[in-house]
Amino acid sequence: MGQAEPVQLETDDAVDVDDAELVARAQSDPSAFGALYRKYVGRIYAFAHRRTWTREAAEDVTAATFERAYRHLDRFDAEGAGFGPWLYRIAANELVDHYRREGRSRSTRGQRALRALADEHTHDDLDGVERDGEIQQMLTALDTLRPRYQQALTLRYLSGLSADEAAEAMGCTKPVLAVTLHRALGALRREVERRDFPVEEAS
Amino acid sequence: MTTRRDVRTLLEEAGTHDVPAPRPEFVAALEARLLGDTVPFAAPTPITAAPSRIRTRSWIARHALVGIAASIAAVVLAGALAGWFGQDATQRRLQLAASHDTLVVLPDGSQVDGTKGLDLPEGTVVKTGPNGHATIGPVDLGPGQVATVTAGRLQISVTVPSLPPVTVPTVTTPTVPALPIG
Repeated sequence: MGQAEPVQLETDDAVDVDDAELVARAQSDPSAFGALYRKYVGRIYAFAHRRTWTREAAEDVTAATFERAYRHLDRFDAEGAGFGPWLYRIAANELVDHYRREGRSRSTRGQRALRALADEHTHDDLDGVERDGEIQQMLTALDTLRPRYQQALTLRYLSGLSADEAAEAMGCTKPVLAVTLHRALGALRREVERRDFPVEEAS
Repeated sequence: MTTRRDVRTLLEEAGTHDVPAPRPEFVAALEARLLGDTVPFAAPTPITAAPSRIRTRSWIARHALVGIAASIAAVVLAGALAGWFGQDATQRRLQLAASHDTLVVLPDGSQVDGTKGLDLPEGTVVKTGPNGHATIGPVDLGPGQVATVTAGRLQISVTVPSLPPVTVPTVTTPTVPALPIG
């Protein structure tokens, strides 16, 4: 993970095009959706990868996100949140569904992720391996939270959205999001402690 | 002891973690799959989308309809013909198809010149003159013929020209005296 190159978030030809305009055009011109896709596919993939830590799962979630967005593009409200937050919300829901469907053992998932991390890191980067392991364990605990808490935490901390954008993606106000995040962090902390994961004090 | 700050810090680190770029083949394949699926936006699939298959179906449908229509028409026509031929001969209508120098005597005794298309009801008599002719259905009447419509059929007779009177010479039979008997 740590050695990989940062994701190219958007393509040059789509940066200056307004999302709402592209969405409006995409209603009758599917090629316009192609511009939206190229603009956001890197971001959504990165979001999914930060949550799942596996390429396969990130690809599955990314594909499911854009397929659902494409099918339900007519439901996008241009007057509401922007296309980006709307897309992230879909991705967050897909992540919840992904783990719900997967139904695999969380301990197995954690062990597999740790093995993958150990393979990627050199022996002189053991601190990084340990920290990545803590993150992975925390994300494993995140899987057990109620869907709304998962959505709030992933949208706020893993997507790169601002607090306002995350609130829009959640379909709530910023104060409501703050309260939800507070409760979600408390639930996550309790789950981490219950599992007795070695979470250290942040420096 | 774990605090909210601890898990939040881990979350923030996870959110800034570098991740590998998506595989170009995955990005391309997904885009192709998305844009190839035009169901949500496209109008109904144009007929030209699969010309041979659709044309075949259209051809079958069109010819099936033509066949059905032809069958119905054949049945109707057969019924009509059967009805016409099956009806009582007296109910058939005969017409004068062509005529020249022809006199038609209608059942009520009135006489009219024969004209094309004239109906010939039961009991009508058609007479052609010495130089006339008439056509009634498949029958051609020559000069000097008479046809009578009877029971839906034509009864044809020939008019025999009148012969000059024959003079028979008077023969006087001589009187023969009675002979004595015995």
